[in-house]
Amino acid sequence: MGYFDRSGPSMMEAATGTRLMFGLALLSLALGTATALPLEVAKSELDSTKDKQVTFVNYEGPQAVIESDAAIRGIGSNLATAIGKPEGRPARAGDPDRYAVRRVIGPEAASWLDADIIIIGKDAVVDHIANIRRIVAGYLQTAWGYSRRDADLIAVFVTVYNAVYRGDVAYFGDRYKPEVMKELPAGSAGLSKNWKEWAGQTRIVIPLSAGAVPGAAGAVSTGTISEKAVTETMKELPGGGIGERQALVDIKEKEVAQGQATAEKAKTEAVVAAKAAVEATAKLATATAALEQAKAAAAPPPASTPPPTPLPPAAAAPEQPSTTQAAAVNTTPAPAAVAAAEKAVAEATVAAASAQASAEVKAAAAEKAVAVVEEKKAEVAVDRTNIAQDQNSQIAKEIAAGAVDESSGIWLFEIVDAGYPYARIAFVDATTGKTFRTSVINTIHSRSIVDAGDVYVAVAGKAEGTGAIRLVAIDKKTLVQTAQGTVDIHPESTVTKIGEVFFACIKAPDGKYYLGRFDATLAETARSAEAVNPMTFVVQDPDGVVAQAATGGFSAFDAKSLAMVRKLGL
Amino acid sequence: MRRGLTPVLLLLGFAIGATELPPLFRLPTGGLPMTSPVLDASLTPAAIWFLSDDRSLYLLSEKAALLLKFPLEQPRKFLAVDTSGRAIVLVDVLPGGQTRGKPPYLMAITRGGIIAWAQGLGDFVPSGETVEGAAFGFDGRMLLLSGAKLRCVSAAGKSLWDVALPGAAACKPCTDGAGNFLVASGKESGEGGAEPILTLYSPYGVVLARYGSEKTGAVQATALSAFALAGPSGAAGLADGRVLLLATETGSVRSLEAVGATKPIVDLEFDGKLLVALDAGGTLGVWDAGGQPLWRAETGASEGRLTLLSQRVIVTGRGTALTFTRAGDLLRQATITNAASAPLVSPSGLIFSAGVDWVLAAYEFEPAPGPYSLPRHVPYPKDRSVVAQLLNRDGAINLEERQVALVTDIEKRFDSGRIGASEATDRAVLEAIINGDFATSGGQADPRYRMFIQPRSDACRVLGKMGSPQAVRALLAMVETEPDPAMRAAALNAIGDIGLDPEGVCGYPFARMALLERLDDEVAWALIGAIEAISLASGKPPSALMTRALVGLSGPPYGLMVRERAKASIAKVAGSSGQ
Repeated sequence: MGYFDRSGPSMMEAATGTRLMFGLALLSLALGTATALPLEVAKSELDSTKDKQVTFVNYEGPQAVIESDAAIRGIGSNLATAIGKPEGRPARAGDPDRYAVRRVIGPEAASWLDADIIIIGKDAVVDHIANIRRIVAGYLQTAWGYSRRDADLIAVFVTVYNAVYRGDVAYFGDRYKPEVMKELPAGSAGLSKNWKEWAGQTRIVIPLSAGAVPGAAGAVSTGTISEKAVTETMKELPGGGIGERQALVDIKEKEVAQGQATAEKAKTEAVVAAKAAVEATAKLATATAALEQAKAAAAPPPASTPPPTPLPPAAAAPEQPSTTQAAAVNTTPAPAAVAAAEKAVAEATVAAASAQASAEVKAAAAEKAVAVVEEKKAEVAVDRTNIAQDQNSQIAKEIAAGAVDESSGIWLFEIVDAGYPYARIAFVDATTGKTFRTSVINTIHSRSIVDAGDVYVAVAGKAEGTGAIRLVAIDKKTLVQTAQGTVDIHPESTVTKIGEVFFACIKAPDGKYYLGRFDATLAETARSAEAVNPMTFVVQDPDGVVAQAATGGFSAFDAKSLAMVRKLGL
Repeated sequence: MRRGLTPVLLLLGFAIGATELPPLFRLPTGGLPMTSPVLDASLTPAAIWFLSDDRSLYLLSEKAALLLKFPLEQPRKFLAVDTSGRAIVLVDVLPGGQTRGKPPYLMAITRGGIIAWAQGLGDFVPSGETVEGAAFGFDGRMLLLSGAKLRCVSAAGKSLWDVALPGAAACKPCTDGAGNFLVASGKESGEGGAEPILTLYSPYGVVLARYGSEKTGAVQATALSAFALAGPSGAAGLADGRVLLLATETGSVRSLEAVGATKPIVDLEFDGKLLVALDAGGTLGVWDAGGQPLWRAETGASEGRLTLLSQRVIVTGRGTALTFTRAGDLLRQATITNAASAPLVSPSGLIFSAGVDWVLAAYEFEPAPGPYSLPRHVPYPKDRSVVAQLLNRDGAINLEERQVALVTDIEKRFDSGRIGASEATDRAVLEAIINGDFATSGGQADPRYRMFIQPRSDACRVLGKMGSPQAVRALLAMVETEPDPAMRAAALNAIGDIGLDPEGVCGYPFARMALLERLDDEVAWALIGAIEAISLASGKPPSALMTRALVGLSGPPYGLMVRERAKASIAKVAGSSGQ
């Protein structure tokens, strides 16, 4: 089996020994074509120390047939198409001798999972984990509506998950419904680390969330495929599997968002149902009251009233109708009203009971939906915390590995120009000669450098083109320029530090040179009125500073104002 | 004089290339950034607040210490830092399932992880939306923007006034040099279109000035920055790349030419001396305070952000950072790997960048950037004219019932969130009642002043409720001069309710009271409460004087209950400063 473009879907390569140059190893996926060429197997680098460490061993060698990424994904996609839309019942599709799928849905059970099981049959010729993942990803895209990116990521976790729990029937039995276990013989449950054990011995379990529906986030139980054992295993891979785990967190966040929408809808429905139940109960109360009224109206009059003495029929009849006759007129409609009221009560009772039951079901559903969301949020929070902790560990390792002992460092001034002492500053390990860092600026006039504690101050630059020669300050720790003067300086000027200020020779527009005083930011604070020799040394004296005048001789200047104090004969 | 970038590069005879910065320290944050990091420079060292997708609020000091990780329940995408250095966040659920009105809840969290206050904004922020921007007044009040609505809340989160904008806001509001708020919004022009409006609001919600399209040109503002170290002035960046210089006192508007190729301004900084604008194409333009162009540079910084410091102009974009002198010399350019957004620059020159790898990293970038150019805070002027008016016109003002009625009316309006423009006068009235200014003779010496416990006590309570730190001095004066322990306690309780002492005026009086007086237990209790409230609500460690006050109260001659309360308070504030 093979694939010509490795740069596509494989987000997590198998560990050491399996990453080969793209142009060297062409792997083929032979659909129905058994490769006749002898196969060379790369030396496997199975882990030997940790039971749960997963290093897939793939076939690495010449291939007879090269299949495209689309074709390989198509295997999974075709299986999904064949098995049809999930309808909450078991289903089967495919050829068990090559590629097949079982959708195993059992009766609802609180903590047990349903599963899709992808079967790699005895005649299947898949020999690279990347292609297993393509098949799984293709299946997930078509069966459950995942995007390609999400399907690829989940496929990585599914394969690692199945490898971690390969043959662990006890584990599967603890997590999956009995119906699923019937499809998982011990010898083929999960995925072997070695490609030679895939054909005919592989049943890849894809755990499904309760109520999984295509197109909705969370069809695959992402919590299951990212259990601690799986993520611990992924830490052993290059990069610690951090990128993949972060991407899975993004998928879980989509599940949370969707779950919240579902929960909100369920809560709304629960509220509506509760309101309906209240209304139904009120109607029942009303009907019951009406029944009581009807019964009261239908009750016979009190016994204390004596029956009337019957009169001669001829005289009495027209004027005093008998009470019996009157009683007969009064009691005839009452039982009907009572019966009607009783019927109304009965109907209201049924309605109230039904509404109450519905409200309870809706409330329970809302509560469950909220609980599912809270559980997923908690899971995401744990994932994020674990990722941060692992990143901390990685950072600590990087720091330890890269820690540089600079205690032997010295600053050197490297001449970079054969014709002039332009220099840059280099911080070098005096013991090993290794350069820790160098200054970017490389036009320092090396004879002018002054150590000013935390910085070096010097004359730098070239008076060429738009360039200029100025005072600069270079931070010793970083060798980054921190300040720059704004007045032109003579290229041969010295820099003298007295106290916290600096003295150097300024080149003025009149072509002459004057002694300049500069503060720590290299801003000019004073300038002599008398021109000086641009190459003069500057010496401190009791009154201030002394420099050689342009006309000869020496002059003493006030240290602050640079006003000439006196001439010194020589 | 304008200079481009190229001459700057050749100045020293070498080319400045971008260097990749190695991280100084890194903090895994469990998720991508929900918002950009924000700086709290209220203490030294400065600290960075950061809101992550893992629903946690982080506080990281410049010295690489993780000061706080505060879990939030369903935070929305909003994070700001108030004038006391507290993080302001918006959440759907309060810790412990508490309620404070209708969600979402605006919360202030101190460096020590204490929730200083929480208020419901359900009547202001629509469902699923968030607060889009905030500006801060000089007494800690906040102007919040959501859609086409503004709400001003006090430093304690209580609603002060609301304004409906003429149209949707164009960008975040900002504060000018006088503590007024500048807001950019649209307004229906009656021709089916929208006209941009810049409006200047007083701290009390009164419109001070409006700049319509006749002054701004018919282009929407995209960025606002408005403060000055001397005098109120403002600047607005527009969608066509122009920048407006506003003199808010005179109402004049000056339009400066576009920074680059007419791309929207994305960030703007103005410190009264230098005006700096960055457009969406990464072109940086710099003017002086008079609007004279100084220099510009092409930075290439996408999604850029500006930081204007006393010695530097720093531009950061996603994955890049450049630092210039204020004269325009490019000193350094660096690249940052894995950046998720434009990084933040701290006063010590560190860059904090949130990464797409869920790691917040700090890089050494600028060793000597100089301090931030922050506006000088000027207290809002008090309006005591109402006191004179009441004395002149209200013949019953010296009666207790009348004063009680006044306080009640003020409290009602405040509780309804409608105190608005009358806040300054109302506060003046309350302070006048406390001071006994309405006693028609004798002032505080008037014996009737002493008898009016009810209105003075109520006035203290309402001042505390209103939460303006500007009332602290008046309350403190009452604490110091009032002989009645109940009145002193009422004033101290009000100071505690305000919870802020930005001017640091409480330390000495509190220490003197605790150490040199033998306080009534009620007063001592209230004093402890005030010190504790100020320490916990502000998140800053108590001053040495306040600490001494607590220590003084924790021993004889105070009774056991006061002593135990003081000791408990010492332990509580000692563990909460989060520095």
